[in-house]
Amino acid sequence: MSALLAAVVATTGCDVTNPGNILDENLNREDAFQALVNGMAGDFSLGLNGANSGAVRFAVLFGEIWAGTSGEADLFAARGILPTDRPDYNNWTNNAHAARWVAEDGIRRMRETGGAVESSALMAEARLWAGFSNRLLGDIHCEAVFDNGPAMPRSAYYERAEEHFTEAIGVGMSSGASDLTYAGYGGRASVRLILGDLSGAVADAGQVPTDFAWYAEFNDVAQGGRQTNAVWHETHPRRNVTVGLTWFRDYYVETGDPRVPSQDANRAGGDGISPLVSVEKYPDGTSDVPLTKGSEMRLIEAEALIRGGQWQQGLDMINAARAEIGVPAWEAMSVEDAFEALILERGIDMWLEARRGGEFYRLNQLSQFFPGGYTPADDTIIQRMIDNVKATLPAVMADAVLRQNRATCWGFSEVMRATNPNLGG
Amino acid sequence: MSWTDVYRRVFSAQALRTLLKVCAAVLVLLALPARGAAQTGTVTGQVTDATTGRGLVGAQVFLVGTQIGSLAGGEGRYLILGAPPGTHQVQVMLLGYPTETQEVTIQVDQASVADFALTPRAIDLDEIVVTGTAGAVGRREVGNSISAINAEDVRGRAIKTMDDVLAASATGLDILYTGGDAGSGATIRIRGVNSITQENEPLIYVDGIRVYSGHYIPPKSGPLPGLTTASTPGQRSSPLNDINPEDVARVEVIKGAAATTLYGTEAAGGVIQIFTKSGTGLQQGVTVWDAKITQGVSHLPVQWGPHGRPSEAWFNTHGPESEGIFLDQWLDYGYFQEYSLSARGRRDELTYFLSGRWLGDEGVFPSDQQSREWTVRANTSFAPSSAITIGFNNHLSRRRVDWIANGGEAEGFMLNVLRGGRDYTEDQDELVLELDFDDYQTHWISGIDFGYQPTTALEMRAALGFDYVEQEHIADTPFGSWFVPRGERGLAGFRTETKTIDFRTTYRADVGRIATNTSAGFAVFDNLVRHTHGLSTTFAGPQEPTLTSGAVRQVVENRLREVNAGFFVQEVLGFADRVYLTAGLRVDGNSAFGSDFGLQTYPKLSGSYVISDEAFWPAALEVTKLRVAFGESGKAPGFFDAERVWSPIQTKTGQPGVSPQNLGNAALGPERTREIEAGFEMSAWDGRVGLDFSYYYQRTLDALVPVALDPTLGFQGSQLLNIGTIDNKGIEVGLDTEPVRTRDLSWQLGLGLSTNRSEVIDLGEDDAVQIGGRIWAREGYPLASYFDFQVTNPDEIAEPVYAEDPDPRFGRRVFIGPVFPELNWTVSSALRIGDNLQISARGEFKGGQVMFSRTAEANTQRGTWPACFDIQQKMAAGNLSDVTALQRSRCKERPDRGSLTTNADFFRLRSLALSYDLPQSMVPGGLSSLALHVAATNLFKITDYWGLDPETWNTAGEPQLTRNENYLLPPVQRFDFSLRMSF
Repeated sequence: MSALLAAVVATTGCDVTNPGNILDENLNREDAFQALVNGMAGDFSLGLNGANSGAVRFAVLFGEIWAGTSGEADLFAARGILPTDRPDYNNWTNNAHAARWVAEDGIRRMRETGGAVESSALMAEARLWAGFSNRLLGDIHCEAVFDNGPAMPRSAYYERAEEHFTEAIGVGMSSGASDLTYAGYGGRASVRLILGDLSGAVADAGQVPTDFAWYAEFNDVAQGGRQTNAVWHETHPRRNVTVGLTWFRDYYVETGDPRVPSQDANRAGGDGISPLVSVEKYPDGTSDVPLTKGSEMRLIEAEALIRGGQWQQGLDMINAARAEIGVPAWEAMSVEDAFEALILERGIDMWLEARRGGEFYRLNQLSQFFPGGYTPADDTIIQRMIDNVKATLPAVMADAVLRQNRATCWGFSEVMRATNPNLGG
Repeated sequence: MSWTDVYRRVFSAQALRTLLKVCAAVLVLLALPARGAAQTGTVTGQVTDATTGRGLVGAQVFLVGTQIGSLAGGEGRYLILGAPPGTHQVQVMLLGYPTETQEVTIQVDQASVADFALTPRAIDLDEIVVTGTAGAVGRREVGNSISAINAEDVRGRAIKTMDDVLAASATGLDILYTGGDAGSGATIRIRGVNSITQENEPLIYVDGIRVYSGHYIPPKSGPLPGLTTASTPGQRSSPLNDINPEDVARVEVIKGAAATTLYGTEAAGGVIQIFTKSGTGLQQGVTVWDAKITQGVSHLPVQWGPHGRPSEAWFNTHGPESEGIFLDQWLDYGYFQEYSLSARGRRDELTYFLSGRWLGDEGVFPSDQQSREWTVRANTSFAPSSAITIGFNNHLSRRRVDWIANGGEAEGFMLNVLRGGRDYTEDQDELVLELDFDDYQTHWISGIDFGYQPTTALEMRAALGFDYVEQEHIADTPFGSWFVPRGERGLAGFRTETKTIDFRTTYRADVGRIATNTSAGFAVFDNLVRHTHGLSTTFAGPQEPTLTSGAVRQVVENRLREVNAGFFVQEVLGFADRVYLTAGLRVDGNSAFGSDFGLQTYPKLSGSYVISDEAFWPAALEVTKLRVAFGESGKAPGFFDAERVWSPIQTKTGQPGVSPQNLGNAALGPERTREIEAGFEMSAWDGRVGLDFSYYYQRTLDALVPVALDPTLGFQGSQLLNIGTIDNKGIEVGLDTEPVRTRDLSWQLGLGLSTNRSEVIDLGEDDAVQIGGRIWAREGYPLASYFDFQVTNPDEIAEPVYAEDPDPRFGRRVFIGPVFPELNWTVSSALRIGDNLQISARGEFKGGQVMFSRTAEANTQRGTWPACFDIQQKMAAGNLSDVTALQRSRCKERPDRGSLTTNADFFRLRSLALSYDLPQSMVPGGLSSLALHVAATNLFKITDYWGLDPETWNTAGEPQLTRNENYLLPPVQRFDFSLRMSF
């Protein structure tokens, strides 16, 4: 009987291998590294602005778009609430965390094989994805956590990003990949600015040409729409959010600034009341999202002038760039006015690029201009959205207290807290 | 797609050509002249009910040890031709009556008479059962509960699908209808749910061949991330409904691990075995033709509304902003038609059953929602010698379902209609009908069964089977449509093939008063599942698209294979034909087990005691059997669950990438369900009362629990660990009575009751696992329960006060109720007047469950939910003097979801039917019988459910333990008229 059993079991092939997926051990080889790095890029895009990302709600939170829908998630964000204790909101930040791990684990895997890959353009690119992933997490979260470890100050994300960008610059230069090098400088400039290293930020910014840009790529071929530009998707096929009632719509109507295009659909959005105005900065689902740009570097340089006592020169620099685009100059009578113009200009330049969280973080520490900290009550963009919405949909925004107590960063999701013993899980 | 295209597609199927060849061969055999008749005699007589004197039509009468027999016809009279001369035993068998035998002496060219007067028994211990046993055994030997549904049991009911055959037919068997779309299929549960992550559906066998027991899967569901098209129908069809109910002779249902041990890994959800008809029992050379024609109409009455509320408000009313919610303008009467024809007979050693059926079912929506199908079957058996039988059964079916977009999608039809102007189409709801969803479903089952019985003691059976299920789901959004202006075409191909190899041998021996029955065998199931999805978008212009039409094309392919193999041994000892002890063991291996996991063993132990055979037992309790059973069976993990894998992705257009997919677990093994069951079966008062009682207790060990993963470690989602423990217990009571039984009048009344209470005992380190949305598995609560806000002062004129959960992680999310019913009862009544007229009714109650109504929530947010109209006006005006806390909670602008998760208990009158068998004198020439049948389905319901309907829930794209009502069509009423004739 036992022989019969063995024969039956043996011949029926309990050793069945199913095709399609890739065994983990098969990635420990050099010819798999290109796919590994491509995957880092794909996972980063997913975490930044792909399906189930927090990009849309984050944009609503900071007044970049308005939630013209009945969707509860968007309306929470519109009120300035990020309810991380709601199980159905668990997923929005998880992809960004996974993207960081994928990049850093990939770097580890590549380093462990040794050889030429350490100084290759592939490694430089991997470092960029690790850097931008950490920066994204710093822009999103109120605290930092790495690999199931303890909570750390938010700045840890930016510091880690800075390290990765430094490596990217070094490897990029040695491998002759100029684009990767510029992206490394641009990324490092942005995080140095956030960390308060203005001179370091300016030094890095000076290395980046004005016409340079590095993007998170989106496409319409990745399965499940994982890399379809979510901000486009929510204002075009789905009509769940709208540029209507925002400062950006008012500004565009006033100036026609090509950096913040939007289009009135002449109908209501998903809630039946809010005017549906679509985002045209991303004209379709394949629109890439800039991660660092030369124009942002010029604004860093302008900021250095404004903060360094030469506010008029800084403002002139900004207005010169505006004149080239064909939009009116900002007017300022004081350093405070000039800095306000700078904030708005940065908001325009980085509209819907998921950067406002980091902006709030660094401005909140800029005691030179905001001795009591920078809050949503100080933010022109958020205040304009609230005022417009109150005038149009008074019942929705009746609670004025939220104007002062809006969230500006995300706590850890419920699944992170439940699975990390260091966070009480 | 035109009819020509459909015809061409159907008749291009290789399987159909093969089947037609087989049918042609059979028909040639039928055309052959019968063998020259040897010198024989005849046996004739009448089979009657001993208590009423009525003739028993359909009784099988045959010569023991031969294939020679006949069926009793009108008035119970039978005639057996071609009987060999000599002394023979004539045996009569009929469900509900004990088997009886008489000795007759047959002489050449003479008629021998043998009349039988049978005393009815509500419980027939001589009934032969095969499911869950190693071979065919009498019910008296079986220590576990087994339910049998015979064709005669359902003849008087309104039956369209196999779901209807099974619904309200057996205690513990729960058929969960999901909506009223033509072509939709129900979900089946036996004794509740006992797995968080694996399928809870039972195994299904057809004539001993394992068949696919899942559903036809549309996109947005299933194991693939897939490619998402604009929308989904929200419903899905069931391959079980590919079986023509007219082909079914009998269904056996075994319910728990105590009974399903011999089926091993996979069987913890129970087993349903369907036996189709054959030509057995007919006279030599006779072919009996049966035909059925049904014409009917489906309808969703606009006067239908939840209990206690103005019914017309649901579908025909104006909201406070003068918005119409006119669903009724979209509803129509759906035409239903069915035509079936079968032939069965016997010619020498060959028996056959051939059938065909065509069914057309128009839904109640005016545009396109319909289902059309045809089914053919060819069953043959051949006995080349007295020791050998060879059976060959084939089924082929083809269905086309035209769906419309529905469910909670922005493009859903019900969503846009019921939301009035505050929707996605600005009241141009007909725009949704531009989206087109078509399913083409093919199902082929083929099996060969070899039986060899060289002696009465030794029997061997081998079965080879092949089950092929295929669906092509096409989702078209035309160029220029309002939702996807550039157009889109999605094509999802799903195919599953299951190969069965089954061998078993049984040796019987008697040692004094002890009968032994030793069995052994093995079975192999090789299952291959293939998904191929294509998505094509951005067309150049208006056209009849294919996947090649779009400028952007994506494709996903998945091929998954699972092999399960097992070996079993079983010993049955019978003492004095009244006490039976059974011990068995099954050993299984499965390709989905982790690499560190070996074979799995499942033991079984049961006993039955026919105590009514004892002298001390009161004669009034004519038949009583006590039974107890213990056993184990399992459920395997999914194809890839054990392995750590990355998935290939596309990044940077045209470039390959990899992304973490599954963390894996090398120690992964199956879930193991252990069950103990005890009960009894009893018949009394000349068979007027039959009682079947069972108590069961199941514990599922090593339950696969999805332990959430920290996303900071890269692999998201969850990792399956065998760390859970889940209990299920309940009782099942079946009471069949015949309060009135006379020659000309009979009234049968049946009651069925089943309870099921599950409880999560242990989930490892964490005591709660989220299943989906607000549905959790949590220790101390039923598996799959809603947790959400609950108002503690519902009737107070005050602001709502919410309950608090003692666990701070849950806060105000307290237990509201289980997702699945915990109490089912059925009531059936059949009144027979004279020999010809029967009136029957069947009702079903399901209770103990709650369900969330997304329809109510979304409509309330828009001020378009009729039950909240008045309340919302009062709230807007600040007039709350008579608005209760619960009303405020339900009708405020952002209603509390917990308050919209309400009691979903319901009673529904499933079937009301009248059958009239024309007297022989009135039957037209050429026919042997003619019956008229009028039936109504879902005539009325009683419920307090707050949403649209408690039997309406999304099944497409939802986790299998969730139920949410979300803009779907409720079950419809149907009225049928049928003619059933034999010739």
